[in-house]
Amino acid sequence: MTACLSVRDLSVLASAKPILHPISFTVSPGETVAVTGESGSGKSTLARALMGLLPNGFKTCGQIIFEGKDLTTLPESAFRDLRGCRIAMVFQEPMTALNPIRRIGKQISDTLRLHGAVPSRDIAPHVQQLLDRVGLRRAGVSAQAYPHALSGGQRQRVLLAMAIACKPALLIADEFTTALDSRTQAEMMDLVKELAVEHEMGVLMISHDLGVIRRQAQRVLVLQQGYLVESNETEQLFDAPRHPYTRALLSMSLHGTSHPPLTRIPVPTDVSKGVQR
Amino acid sequence: MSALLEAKNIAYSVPERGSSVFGSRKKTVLQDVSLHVAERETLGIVGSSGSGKSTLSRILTGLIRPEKGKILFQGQDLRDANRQVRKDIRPSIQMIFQDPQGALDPRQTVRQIVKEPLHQMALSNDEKERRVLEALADVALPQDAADRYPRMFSGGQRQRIAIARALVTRPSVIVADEAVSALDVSTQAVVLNLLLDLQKRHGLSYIFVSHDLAVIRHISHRVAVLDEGKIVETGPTLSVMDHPQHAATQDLIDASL
Amino acid sequence: MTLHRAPKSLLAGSVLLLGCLIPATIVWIWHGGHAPFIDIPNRYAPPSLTHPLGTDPFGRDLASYVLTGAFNTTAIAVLSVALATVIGTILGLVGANGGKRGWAVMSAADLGLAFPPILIAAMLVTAQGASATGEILAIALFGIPAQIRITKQAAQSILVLDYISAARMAGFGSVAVTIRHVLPNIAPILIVHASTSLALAILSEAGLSYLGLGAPPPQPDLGRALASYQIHIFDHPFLVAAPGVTVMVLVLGFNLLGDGLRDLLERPFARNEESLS
Repeated sequence: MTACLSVRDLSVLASAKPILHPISFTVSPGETVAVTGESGSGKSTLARALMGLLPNGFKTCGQIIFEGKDLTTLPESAFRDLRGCRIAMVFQEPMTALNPIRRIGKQISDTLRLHGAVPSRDIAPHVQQLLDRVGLRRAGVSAQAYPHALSGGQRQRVLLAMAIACKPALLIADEFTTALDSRTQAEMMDLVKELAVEHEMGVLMISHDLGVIRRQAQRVLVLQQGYLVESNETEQLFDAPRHPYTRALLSMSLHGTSHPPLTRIPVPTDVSKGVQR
Repeated sequence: MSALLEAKNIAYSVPERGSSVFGSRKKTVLQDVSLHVAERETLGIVGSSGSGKSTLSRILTGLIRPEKGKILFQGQDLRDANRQVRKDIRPSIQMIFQDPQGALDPRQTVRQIVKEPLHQMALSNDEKERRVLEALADVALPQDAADRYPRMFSGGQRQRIAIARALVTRPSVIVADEAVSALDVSTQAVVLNLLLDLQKRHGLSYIFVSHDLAVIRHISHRVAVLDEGKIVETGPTLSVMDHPQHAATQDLIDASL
Repeated sequence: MTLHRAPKSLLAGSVLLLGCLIPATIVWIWHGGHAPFIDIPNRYAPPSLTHPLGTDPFGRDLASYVLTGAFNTTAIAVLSVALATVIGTILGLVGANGGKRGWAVMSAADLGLAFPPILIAAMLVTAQGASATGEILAIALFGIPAQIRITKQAAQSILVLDYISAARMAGFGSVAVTIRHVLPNIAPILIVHASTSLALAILSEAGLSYLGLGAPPPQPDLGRALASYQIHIFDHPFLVAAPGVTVMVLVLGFNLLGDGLRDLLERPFARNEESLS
């Protein structure tokens, strides 16, 4: 199986200061790869670098190979065609990503029309199909609804419908479920998982939540202060972490590991200091 | 064990979205909620979003007045109490908020922020100053933190400042609304440890509100499960977690792993 | 704050305004606030060393006339914006605190926004004759509804934050909370708005006096100068260009100042969002 995304020695510099050190990994079709780390680890920088959305003054080195093209050398206009179509994204904050004064059905059909994904007479039924697929029709949400009338989880479903509208090869989810409560979170994750298999779509998931990652990802990349310190299969990572930082993260997490209640959680003193490689 | 803070038959509703100034329909947020927390005890309140847990924590701290029901502190009804008594009781119940950005006024120094709850207390300025430094020491922030602004601190440190603000009145109950939900794993661990230490050191009671079952399980002695404005299950944490009686509890447990 | 860190627009705006208003103030004091001396035999004089821009149809020094006019226009603009800011801010804060009173204020503001400013000015002039006071009131009345809306919106975004709840728990009432927490945090928005309102107020002042609704002669006035000298646009272009350019410089100056202040004052808050990763 060929990789759908292949990153080779990608690094990011912010005004000559490295904030992401060279990192290499691949994402295969249908596979979910998680990127985790604490704030300042560089995980959001990585996501934005992949989407070509780094702010001015940031410089990338290395290669991002997607469908045979190197995204780092792609002109902005060509990148724009890829974004939202072959590479889709979903973010944490659904309210800022949706237009508050447009009906959700219209916003989904805008995406379809923009990328010319389906012939225009098929757009309306396609929108209905998408709403159905992300479970909004079942919840009684119509294409005529405005974003403010929806709950946080429903808005995320709209975003997901827009993201998968053009059947992308890669979905980047940046702390997608972080703002949701755990029950809605679980539902959303199951949905993404199904869609990934259905569309043979690679998923790169950025999350700080180890519970979510364990449930969702096949492989995990652990970042610490801009360095990739461990890349491992999910089961192995949780059962036998190789890097001391991963071990420290797992030992402190309340998800997956059981600490006796009402006792101090062992916090390694060196966890926030420096990088051990 | 007698109850320190008790809520009896609390009900609350809000005008439904889309209703006008003239004649409005009501949407029930809380319905006949009763709970209590004893001295040195932690009561965890767990529920998904929309279960009414944020409203409940605001009612417990007196920020919102319930439509029905009453709040008792050491057996005394806060609504019946006269102004002076209320003024005396108020500092005993404090709150820690979720959002580390919005919980601290960016234009105030840490000293001003932490001092604020002492405003109505009959203390000399020297005593207030002493209390502020004591509270900062309690949460292990350096003394020179007092004259800096919130933006100069990390997320975890900002949450410590918020905890110091809650401690400065020497309260007996602290209501924590999603106090660690927005924090990194290591910061979350450090803050939870701090809260456990403070409970031992000062004999505090906590009402810990969260959607995160793992956090609730770690820190609570007893747990109450809130679902659609009603308490559907309550009991010692481990027995509720291991033998859930209600479907909503089971759902939360399934979702957390 | 060091100069090189200040936004360019702030510097440019300050240079324009100071370059215009410092000489204007000196000339205004020199003439004791009156128009320059009338010297009929010397009218329509071309530019010379004694009269750098020549003289007007009454033989008055055009440069002094325009500078005094600039001072008057700015003074009227500043007074009306100050009035609108004070009244609009107080009412906006009342509106933000909600309740029946807040609802009444906001309804009145909406009604006010529907009134064309020219109509307000015409009504005031009819009621009490053309005067600088009438002009100040008209421009202020025009600005108040917008000021109310901006204040209300800004205050409401602060009032939902948790530090407001914390202050209420400490026993502070609405007024104390507003003074302690809301005003300091919305001050940058108010300052920026005041600065851009000044540009609009200058334009309004010039417009009103162009229509003859401003201060009566002999008080030097840029708008009136434009109106009465426009017939000389081909034979004595300086007569039209001097007041016109002065209005333009003032408007541009205040607009640039507003832009610069926005960059400067709202930067501390932007900083949090800038921190990637």
